[in-house]
Amino acid sequence: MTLLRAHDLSIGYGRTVIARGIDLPIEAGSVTCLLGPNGIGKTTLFKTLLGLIPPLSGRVEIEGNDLASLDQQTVAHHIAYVPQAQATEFSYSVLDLVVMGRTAHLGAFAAPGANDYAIAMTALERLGISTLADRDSTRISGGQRQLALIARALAQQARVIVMDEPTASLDLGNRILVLETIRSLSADNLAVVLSTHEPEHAFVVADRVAILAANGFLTGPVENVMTSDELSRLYRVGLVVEKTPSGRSVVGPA
Amino acid sequence: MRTATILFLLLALLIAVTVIASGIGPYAISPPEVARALVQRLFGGTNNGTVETVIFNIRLPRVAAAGIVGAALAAAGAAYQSLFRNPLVSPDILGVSTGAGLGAVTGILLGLPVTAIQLMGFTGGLITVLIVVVIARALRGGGDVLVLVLAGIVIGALAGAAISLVKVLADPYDQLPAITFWLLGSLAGIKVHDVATTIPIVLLGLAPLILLRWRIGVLSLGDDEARALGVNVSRLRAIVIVAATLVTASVVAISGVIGWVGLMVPHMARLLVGPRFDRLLPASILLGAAFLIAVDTLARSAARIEIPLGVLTAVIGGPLFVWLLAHNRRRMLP
Repeated sequence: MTLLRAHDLSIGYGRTVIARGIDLPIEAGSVTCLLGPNGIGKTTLFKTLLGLIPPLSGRVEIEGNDLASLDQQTVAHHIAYVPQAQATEFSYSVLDLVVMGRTAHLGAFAAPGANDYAIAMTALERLGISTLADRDSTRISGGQRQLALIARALAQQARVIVMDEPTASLDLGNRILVLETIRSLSADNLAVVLSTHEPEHAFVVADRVAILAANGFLTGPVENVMTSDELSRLYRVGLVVEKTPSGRSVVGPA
Repeated sequence: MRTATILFLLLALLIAVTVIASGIGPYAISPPEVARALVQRLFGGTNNGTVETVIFNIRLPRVAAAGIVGAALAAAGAAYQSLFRNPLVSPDILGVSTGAGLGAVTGILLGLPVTAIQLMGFTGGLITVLIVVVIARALRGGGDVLVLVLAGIVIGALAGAAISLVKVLADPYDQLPAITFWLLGSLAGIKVHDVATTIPIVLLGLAPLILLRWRIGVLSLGDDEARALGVNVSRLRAIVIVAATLVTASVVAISGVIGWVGLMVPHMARLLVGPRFDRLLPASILLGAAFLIAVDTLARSAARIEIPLGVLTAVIGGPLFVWLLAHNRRRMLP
């Protein structure tokens, strides 16, 4: 089932077009990995998919409805956003941060109730960080904060989760933990879209790859797109994809 | 301690401060006597002794005014700190105090009656923030917090320059002292009538802040995150600016410019109940009221002359703030 679809989308700000002709279907139970060099507009594409900035042309559809025709609260029922795990200015507890994911389900004048806290706790348990519930979210590790933000997206109960570089600035252990978590979310029939700087992550978690490059947009199944030729073209250096004896795919200089 | 317990203790503190403050003055009344008179009045008793006259006609209007001004400034400060995602923001970030100052000072220069001066102060505050918002919209589609703050600084500086000009033009023996006193903030001339007209406007401004408390808290995560969580950020921001401007302008009109309360009280409240806005707002309201009642009591009773309130809040607030910072740096600073 296609939960989210970009139709002939042009993205950018004002008169500056960053990319055009983007067609991207996001299926339930899939993981889509967005690759692209720094500053190419991956975050702009995400913001357009989330309805935070309007598309320059084309449209984004949520389960068949044009995103532009929906209000922010309705959009939040369908798509959740996991930002990069920076500390906020205010030191909310992890549970308070996660329960903010319930906002779209609350009336305008309401605050979360017992049911919302239960959902938030379930999300924390699902990610194995329920022991952090009362900790200060600005005083936990980057990996823990990233997991807390993913828990917030789960508490939002949206079926599409968009993650902006969820593995950036994490150490190796936390990177693997976050990637495994993403993989397990797709097993729950959620759709995850993530951006990353490391092409190898696409081999580990993704079903589909989307590449945003200076010379256009390209998407398809991992094995079709993640070839030595395409990666070399994308990053403008000679790259080669190789299989290790254990069957793992790695990317290295040609 | 649970939040409900802390809020209950703050309410008890506010009542205690009110009772004690109502007894302090040239005609001293002991707290039990004040409490007895208050309870008696509450249940319809009408004993018109000297004690009652002093409490209900002289002390209580001023104590109530101090409470309202403190509560309003603290609530507006807490809302703006959440809105601008910055704990160093105070209610006059968009120039409402300076604008109100310009309005009131012009009223004094024109020799207007007190009520008209208050009305000009109120209008001046509203118009200043309106100009700031219009400029910010014209420059960047209205969405940008930084443009709002910069426009606030520019218009605040212009209003400040205009105030200086009015001071130069004012009669140095009659008008200038009145202007200076007003700009330092004082509740010395407060009347029952002022309190009665200010309360409805303050409640009108506080109501949306209280009703939308949860969403205003979510706003502190930043525009993109709040929108992705389902909040209509531009509408909510407009509501908060209007509400905070309304409460600030209405109290500045009767009290003059009183600094520090709107910046410092939310910090003290945050130490007690944490950063969540739905808890911070009631704590700031109660603490702000208690704090300003205490400081105003000091202002009218510590010396033979009335000490300007703005001077005292700075003299007491500044060192207190540094002390709190030194002892709670981890919890106060990000």
